Amino acid sequence: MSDVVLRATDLVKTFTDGETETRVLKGIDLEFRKGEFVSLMGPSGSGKSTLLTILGTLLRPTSGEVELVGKVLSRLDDREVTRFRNQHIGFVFQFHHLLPRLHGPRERALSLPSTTKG
Amino acid sequence: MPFELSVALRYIRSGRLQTVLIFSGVAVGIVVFTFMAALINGLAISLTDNVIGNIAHVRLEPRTRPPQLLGSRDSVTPLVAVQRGDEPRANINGWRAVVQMVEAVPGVTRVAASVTGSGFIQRGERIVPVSVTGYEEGKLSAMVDLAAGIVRGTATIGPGDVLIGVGIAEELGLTTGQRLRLRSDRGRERTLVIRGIFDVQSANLNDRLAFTDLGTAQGLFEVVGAVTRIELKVADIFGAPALAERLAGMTGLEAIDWIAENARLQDALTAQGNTGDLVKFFSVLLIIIAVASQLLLSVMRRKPEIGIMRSMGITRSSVTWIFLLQGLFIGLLGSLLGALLGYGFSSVLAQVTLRPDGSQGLPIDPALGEYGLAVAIATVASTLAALLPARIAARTDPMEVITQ
Ligand SMILES: Nc1ncnc2c1ncn2[C@@H]1O[C@H](COP(=O)(O)OP(=O)(O)OP(=O)(O)O)[C@@H](O)[C@H]1O
Ligand SMILES: [Mg+2]
Repeated sequence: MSDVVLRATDLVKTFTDGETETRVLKGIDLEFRKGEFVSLMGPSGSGKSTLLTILGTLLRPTSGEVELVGKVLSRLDDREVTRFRNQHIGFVFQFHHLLPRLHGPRERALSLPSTTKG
Repeated sequence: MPFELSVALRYIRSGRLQTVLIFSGVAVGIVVFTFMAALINGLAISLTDNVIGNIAHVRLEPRTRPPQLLGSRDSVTPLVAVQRGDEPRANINGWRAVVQMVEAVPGVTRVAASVTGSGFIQRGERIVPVSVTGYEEGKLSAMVDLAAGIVRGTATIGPGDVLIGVGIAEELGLTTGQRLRLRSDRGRERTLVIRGIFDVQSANLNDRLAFTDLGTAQGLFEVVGAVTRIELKVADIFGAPALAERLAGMTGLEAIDWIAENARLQDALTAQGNTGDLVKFFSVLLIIIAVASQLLLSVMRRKPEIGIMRSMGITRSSVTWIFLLQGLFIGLLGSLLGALLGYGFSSVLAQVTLRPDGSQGLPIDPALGEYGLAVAIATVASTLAALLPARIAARTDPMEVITQ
């Protein structure tokens, strides 16, 4: 079906901090369709932010695949992922990560210039 | 305007005090650089001028021939001791023809024939050894820049007149209008009238130089009808060695150029130049350190912003360019400001140190501050200094910022 815009298959994310391994995502499968409104709920520390940063291309999963608007993310290199992010993704951050000294419209304009480069 | 440029300019403008400080830092570095260049170059010119103002650029003298052995035997190496004074004094006999020939050579500006020798001036108990030079009539001022250095009397002399250095005058308590007896190393004596006393800014020369007319010197040194040397001034002083070689070939005389005669001046100029280069090098190093540390600080302070930009899809190379462009602007604008200030500083200092008589106290030449070179070097150095901060900025991981 072509109206699937996001598909994740068997997503695993493990954080290794010295000797301790934290398995946060343990094989997640999901599919979002065009026009769908999805909310992700869970207790603090359950891995919401981790999942969203992976789906938002900021973080790479330990294993598993993410396919966004027809692109398989694991096949893109750092530069291509950055371009992809610029063209397709918007974040609303959990904290106030707004750029200092920039006003709303200008901050939004940030994502435009490199878009025009292709 | 490209995105990277607009962010770089915004970062520079928003720095306020930091921006003012870093621009001042670069500007001060360039003031030091250009001042040093103006001083060293000015000093080189003034030293060279001082030296060549009072000497011939090229001197033609008869070749001194080593005594020839009559008959030789290959099996023996003869050992010969020659006493200097035993050689016949070498003169230039057909000198008028040589002067005419040399005057026609392009690049030669002035030519004067002279007789030179040593002698003594005696007054009471005191004897002062002197080096006497007699020029053709009217040629003294063409060869020696005495006009500015005359402290008493005049620089124009005729037969029977003499000019002496201020050192000789002081040693013997002589003044203009008085007579003195000059005895040559040939044993000839003349009584001469002191027409002028000069100061050529060299104690060594002031203590032993005396000038007469050609006829007097010919009589004193027994070279009647001939001269002992022909002196030349040339248009291109640094081309003197090449010209000297040509003249030697043309005339068959020995040609000695001023550069060969003043090897120590060349050494001094080279040493000065090296010192200047060292100071310039350190001023550029200062600029590099200042720019690098300022931008590094800026990167650390803006880490969160850089992280947000990265998460919005601004590439690492864009982030690198944002900081390289800052380095470029700081270097370019800071050094242009510094070049302007440096020119002003050198000009003011050159003015302030002028002596009452209008001569220069500090031989600074503001026109020789190497401003273009300074701006080019500072711009390149500042951009290179931005390389490390730019790389650190580009390595910012958006996750670092977002998960905090
Ligand atoms: N970089 C990391 N290194 C190690 N462990 C991490 C890292 N990031 C997250 N974790 C751990 O992964 C788990 C999930 O964290 P995450 O931030 O995804 O939870 P969350 O659901 O977003 O919680 P909250 O509702 O408080 O925002 C937590 O136990 C957290 O300690
Ligand atoms: Mg969270």
